[in-house]
Amino acid sequence: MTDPVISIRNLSKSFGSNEVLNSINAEVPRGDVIGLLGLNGSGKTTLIETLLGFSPASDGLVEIFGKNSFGDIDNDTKKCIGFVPQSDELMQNISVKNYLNLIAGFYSHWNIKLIERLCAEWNIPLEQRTEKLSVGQKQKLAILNRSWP
Amino acid sequence: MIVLDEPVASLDPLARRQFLKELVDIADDQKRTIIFSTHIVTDLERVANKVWLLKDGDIAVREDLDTLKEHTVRVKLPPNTAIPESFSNDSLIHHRNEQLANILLFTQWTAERHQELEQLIGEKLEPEIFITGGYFSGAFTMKGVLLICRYFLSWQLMLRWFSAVGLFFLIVLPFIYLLYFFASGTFIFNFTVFSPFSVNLYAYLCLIAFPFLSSPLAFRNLIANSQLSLIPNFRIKAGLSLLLFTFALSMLPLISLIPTMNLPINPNQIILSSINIFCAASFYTLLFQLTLPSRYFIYIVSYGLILFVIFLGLLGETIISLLKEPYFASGLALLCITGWVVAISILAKKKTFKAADQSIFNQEFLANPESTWLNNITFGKLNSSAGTLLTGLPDGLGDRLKRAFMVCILSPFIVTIFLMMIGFGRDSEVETLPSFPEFFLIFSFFTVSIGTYNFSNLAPRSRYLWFGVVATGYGTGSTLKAPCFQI
Repeated sequence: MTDPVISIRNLSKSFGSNEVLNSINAEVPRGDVIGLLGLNGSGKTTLIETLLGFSPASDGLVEIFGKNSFGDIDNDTKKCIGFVPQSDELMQNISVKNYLNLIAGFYSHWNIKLIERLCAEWNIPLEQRTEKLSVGQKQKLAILNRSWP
Repeated sequence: MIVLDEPVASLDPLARRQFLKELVDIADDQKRTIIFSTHIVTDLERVANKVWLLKDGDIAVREDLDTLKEHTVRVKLPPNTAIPESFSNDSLIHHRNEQLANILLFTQWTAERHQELEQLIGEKLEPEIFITGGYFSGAFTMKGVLLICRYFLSWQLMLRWFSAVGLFFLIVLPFIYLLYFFASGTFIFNFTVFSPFSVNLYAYLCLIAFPFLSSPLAFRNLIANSQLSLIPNFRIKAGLSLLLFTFALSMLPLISLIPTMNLPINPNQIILSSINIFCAASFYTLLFQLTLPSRYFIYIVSYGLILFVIFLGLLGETIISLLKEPYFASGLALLCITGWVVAISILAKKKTFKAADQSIFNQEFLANPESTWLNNITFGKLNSSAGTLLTGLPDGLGDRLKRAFMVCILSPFIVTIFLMMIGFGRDSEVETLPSFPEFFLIFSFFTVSIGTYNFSNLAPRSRYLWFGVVATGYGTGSTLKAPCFQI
């Protein structure tokens, strides 16, 4: 309980000469729900991506569950992390139902009941092919095809 | 841990709300961490308890939502006035120029900073406080009054006040009894171990001590409870708050009347009963605040039911003769409580037992023999073995069954016994010392309550369910009884 889930130390990130994150220090204790605000281009997505280790930090370190997020995260830790990106590439030429089944195969703890319920509540047509979904429906599907703890 | 990058940007409002609701449910148990970026500030308020604001490559604001709201102001400088250079702009988060006037947005605003800025500029400033959805300064317009009401009567602030007043009453109530004793000159209490008065007192003390004993986390919740802002409808929020507030205020002057009242119909009894109810009601508020972060509809339902039961209890004064039949009374109590438990069980959502709980139990409880039992009685550390221990049902029976047994059969049964003990349905004139079985029942009452509270880690809602049961039992019992007020 006492160890922070995420600790960010002196995190900097720049793209060429454009410095997006400038030496950020923060800790996230367990149980917090944090809303991230900022203007367009203020670095929200960059922060999230660097935080999760998708791209290397220019300087500094992020630890998730005590492990360096860039390279050190093992499979067990990964199971505890769910990530919904801003825009998601969905596979094409496949029905929503088959797509979800396919994704489920990648996770050891797929919460099938939750996904089924949400599909019904959010009116996602299961037989529809993914490329024919509307933008909003695609976003819903993108939210669903993560591993929900 | 869940990380979401603008998850709701292209969803319609309905789906957005549904999605946020799911998110709230997931965040409900305080064990998962969620980070999400958004542009929709109202969403933020529904879900988040902390806010990070990115600016110039740094986290410019990093605060609890409540603190942020309380200490964020908008200051409009007089036309053609620049920001004084000596004034530190650490907490300046936004700066805009509008019709020659500088409009500045500050966080961490304090009275000192206000004075400092006024002195530097040499003019009076009126910072506007931030209220959900806008800034506000004009205190004397109708809209202003409404907005102030909305701010101060917001559900969460209201609950804090109400709880505070309730606690105050709980603490001073024994002194009120004493005051009455000195004013009237008659000794009306029987301070035996098991007189109704002392039982009342025990119940108060236990209710106060109970959450402290059970869950430090719940108290962290109390301090940083921002999830209560989840109630979406401002009208419901304001209306209920106003109602509670009026109720609370109307009770206050009554205390001063107690010692002087000497009327034939003896309103003392009613007044003291009302205070009793108020104390109990306040305490329920506190308990629900501790235990019910997001399910506002259950909140309202429970609250309504409790008040209903209590008023039934008041009404019961007139049909008390009927209720004095012990079997009728306890049967009725059992029926009420079971009905209520069933009703709330239907509303409450079931959660499945997780293997993670088992491992936590094994690691932190069994592997640390030197840690005391009490240290382990906290959220999230007891599991189905505790359920076995408390219900006596075999290990293999499944947690849901045990839980169901606990909340639907064992708890109501024990509450009923408790009700009978504090005199519900018993002739109040009769004062006896408790027998061994009664002591045993009191003991199991608290054991089970502590157990249920932790057991509820598996089903977050059964913890307030239990509180509700205790509260209803206590409220009904003490109200119907009002034994120490017989003058």
